[in-house]
Amino acid sequence: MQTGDVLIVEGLKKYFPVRAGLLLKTKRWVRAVDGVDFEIGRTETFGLVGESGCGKTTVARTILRVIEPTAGRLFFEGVEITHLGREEMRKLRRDIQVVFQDPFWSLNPRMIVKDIVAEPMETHTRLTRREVEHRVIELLETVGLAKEHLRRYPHEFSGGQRQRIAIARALSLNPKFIVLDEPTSALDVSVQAQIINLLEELQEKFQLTYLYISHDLNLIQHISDRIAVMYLGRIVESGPVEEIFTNPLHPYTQALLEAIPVPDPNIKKGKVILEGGVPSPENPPPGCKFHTRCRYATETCREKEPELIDTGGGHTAACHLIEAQHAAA
Amino acid sequence: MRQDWNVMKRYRERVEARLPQVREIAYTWPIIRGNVLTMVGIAIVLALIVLGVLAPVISPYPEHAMGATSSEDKFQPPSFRHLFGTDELGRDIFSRVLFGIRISFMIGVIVIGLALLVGLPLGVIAGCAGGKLDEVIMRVTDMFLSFPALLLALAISAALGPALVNSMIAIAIAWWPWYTRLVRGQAVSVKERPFVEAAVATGVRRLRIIFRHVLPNCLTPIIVQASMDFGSVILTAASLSFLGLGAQPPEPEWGLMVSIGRNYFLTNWWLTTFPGFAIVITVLAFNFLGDGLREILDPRARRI
Amino acid sequence: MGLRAEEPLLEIKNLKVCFNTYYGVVKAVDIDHLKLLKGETLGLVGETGCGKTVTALTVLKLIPSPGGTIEDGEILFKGENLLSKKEAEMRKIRGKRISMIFQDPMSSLNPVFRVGDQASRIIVLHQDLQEKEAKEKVLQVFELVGLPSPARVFESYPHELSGGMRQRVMISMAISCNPDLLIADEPTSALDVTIQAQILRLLKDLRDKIGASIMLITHDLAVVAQICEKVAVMYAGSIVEFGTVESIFSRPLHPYTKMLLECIPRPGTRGRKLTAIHGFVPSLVDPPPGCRFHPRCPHVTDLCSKSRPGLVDLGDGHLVSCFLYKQGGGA
Repeated sequence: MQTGDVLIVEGLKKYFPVRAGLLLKTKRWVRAVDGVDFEIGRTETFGLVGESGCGKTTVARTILRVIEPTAGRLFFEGVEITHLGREEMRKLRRDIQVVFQDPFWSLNPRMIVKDIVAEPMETHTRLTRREVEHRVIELLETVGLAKEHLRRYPHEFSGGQRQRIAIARALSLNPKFIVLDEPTSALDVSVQAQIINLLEELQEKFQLTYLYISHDLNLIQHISDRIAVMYLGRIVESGPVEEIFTNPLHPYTQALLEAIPVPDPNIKKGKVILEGGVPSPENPPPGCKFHTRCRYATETCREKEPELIDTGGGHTAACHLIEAQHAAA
Repeated sequence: MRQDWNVMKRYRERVEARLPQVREIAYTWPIIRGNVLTMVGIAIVLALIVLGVLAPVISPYPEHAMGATSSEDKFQPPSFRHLFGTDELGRDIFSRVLFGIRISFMIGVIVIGLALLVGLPLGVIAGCAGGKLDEVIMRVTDMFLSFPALLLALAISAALGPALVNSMIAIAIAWWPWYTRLVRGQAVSVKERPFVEAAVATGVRRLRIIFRHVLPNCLTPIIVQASMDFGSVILTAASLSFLGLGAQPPEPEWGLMVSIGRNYFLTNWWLTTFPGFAIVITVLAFNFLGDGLREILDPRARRI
Repeated sequence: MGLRAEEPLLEIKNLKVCFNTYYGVVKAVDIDHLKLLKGETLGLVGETGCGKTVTALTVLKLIPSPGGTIEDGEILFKGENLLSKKEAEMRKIRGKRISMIFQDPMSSLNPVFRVGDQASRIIVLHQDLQEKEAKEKVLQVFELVGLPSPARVFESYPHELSGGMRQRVMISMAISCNPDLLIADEPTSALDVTIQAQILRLLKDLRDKIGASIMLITHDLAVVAQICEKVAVMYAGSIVEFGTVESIFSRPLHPYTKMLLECIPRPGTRGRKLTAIHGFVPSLVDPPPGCRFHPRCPHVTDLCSKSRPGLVDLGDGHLVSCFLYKQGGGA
């Protein structure tokens, strides 16, 4: 734990109950997040990567405290926020903002742009209406929109523009930390490029810290400083992004990198393809969660869950074979 | 075909610059205009409103609607002097029907207004809160819903005593649960939407989230239902008056007029028929209106 | 009807498709010409709204009508013009000679019928087989597409299968009658990256095994680079560039293609701004006059706003629609 860290996540778990039967008793638990640890440093962009069902969105929602963690601890700027009361949490919410994936439903269709972007300010500050409007115009211009857009409804804008509005809203209180949950997944590639450039510009300008969640590895390596790869609720590998891309240790990370196609016909991927599908988080495999699809699986892997170990330079991986290798070295 | 689209485009451009709410209505106007039944409904409702507002001015015998009688003119059949004929006390039925519009609309507005005032907040709070609060509210709602609306209104009305005001209260009490249930269903799905989560993450206060974010997005089915209910409420009020529980003589309420006219129907058909027609036309008009609104609001939601 | 060596399997000429909407007439597709040879895999690539899906649907004459009209053009399939065929004739072609795989396997499979029943239906319909024989064939095809325990999958309902498995079922349904042409509309967009890799490998295998031509519609240039031989890039309803995959990726000519390739993040773009194309995709109700890309083009000239450049052949099968280039090569 470094003193400069903006966010620290320790042993985070989130289980959702599955209610069944006549009395709707809790029969099973969906282990959406099953023990996640990471830290994000100031002005860093931390990428959280994984496929669907790996729990990355749940991690985001728990950090934002829109859902409550089942176990674990969260620290924001040194303050523990895991069980913080509503009022105290509200004070901190000025500094933690979010941009969601769905440009369509992340803005209230019945509010005009001005009210949408003004809402955080109306909640937390005592500025006059004139001051708020002034600031809203300033924010819109910062994200590349214009004063004329103030009194329009979200549906009058394109997907890319709506995300800009969402970003303007996120910036309105000068936050320190922004959670970006797949903000460009629903956008075209050319629009995505605009938004990515905007986000990097803003980070530079306002010294922001980002938690960037995505399933797109190419995008993540472009924008992140450090990343963590998630599988079935746990982090299987994490570290500086260049290191992980040039030297992926965990078999899942390797498979993931091998699977992403690149826009170059001379580089044909698919030498090693991961078979099968992701097991259900309701019934995760025992031992290492990845062992069912791992070509190196051993007896230990089927029985014991591996811990994340540091292989040097902040590059951690959770795999028995890597552990053995590392111990031998 | 193409010319129409170009005309529409220019129309839309003219509308671009105005206030957002005006723009919204203006955008939908061409759709509304294309729907015949809705236009008929709107036309009739507007006509009724105008007639009702102008009733004191255009009725040939406004005093007949306010208590005066004219025994020499009893049971006159429809003529140029008395368009709808006269009733058992010699009163001009046409004037009384016109004034009846005011009463019916007042009933509709007050009853539905009260029902929404109680039903919407309960429903949206139940939907958003979930858990025990939701259970409690919904069970109470279910209790009310287990009685047929008319019977419940009848019982309450009888308990409160025969009067127009009492019948309005009674109908409102029978009506609010429908809105609660309707809005709760909507609220449960709306509260899952990202913009609500974003508001929670920003620290917006719960009450504001419920009434600023969730409720406005639940209104579409409510608007449709309420406009169709206008007709049903008027019909229910007329039924209560018919049974002697709502408006009392000499108020020119349509149901009451139908009821009294019943006694003389075989020989003087006009006492019952014209107020009856008024009820039918009003209820139909609101039905068309509600149907049309449903069509308009739905594809618009798709556009959104 | 046999094909000579160079006669294309599918040829689209002067196709214009429009839609009547609330906002006006949307000129969705305006294609000069497009060719697909036998056994070839063509990638039809472009962003949202560029008209690629509409083009595919037009080949199968699945454009909703009223609303959509095919204003002009010919679609020659093995020499016959599909646009002049009646609905009854088209029904014989769909599923049998040309079949389609859709994007979202959940909504393309009927949730109330077992998967096996849906798959057998197609065979019973087109191949005059009895149900029992059809079931045999279905199980064979299920195995061909790599479904584990085909018999169990046959008895399952769509919601009981994973996304990847459903897509394999869709693919098996599409190839069950040995079509000449397979149109795949964003077959992997709804799938995870590792599953996408499996499906792409499957498509490659199938292409080799059954010899069908594939028209792959996607917005993902990387996927195109992986399995296609030829690429057609679409923008705002027209084809702006066409050529082999090697030639397009190594030597993109059209400004749009160039910028599209440059704005994709990949190893190497780290640390610098992505080249973004400024401006927005134009409304197809009121498309820009002349070349539809000209308002966003860094090399725009006066001519570009006045007339539309046709597709010119630079001599090696590399076609581009831009005034910067002349017929036969040279700029």
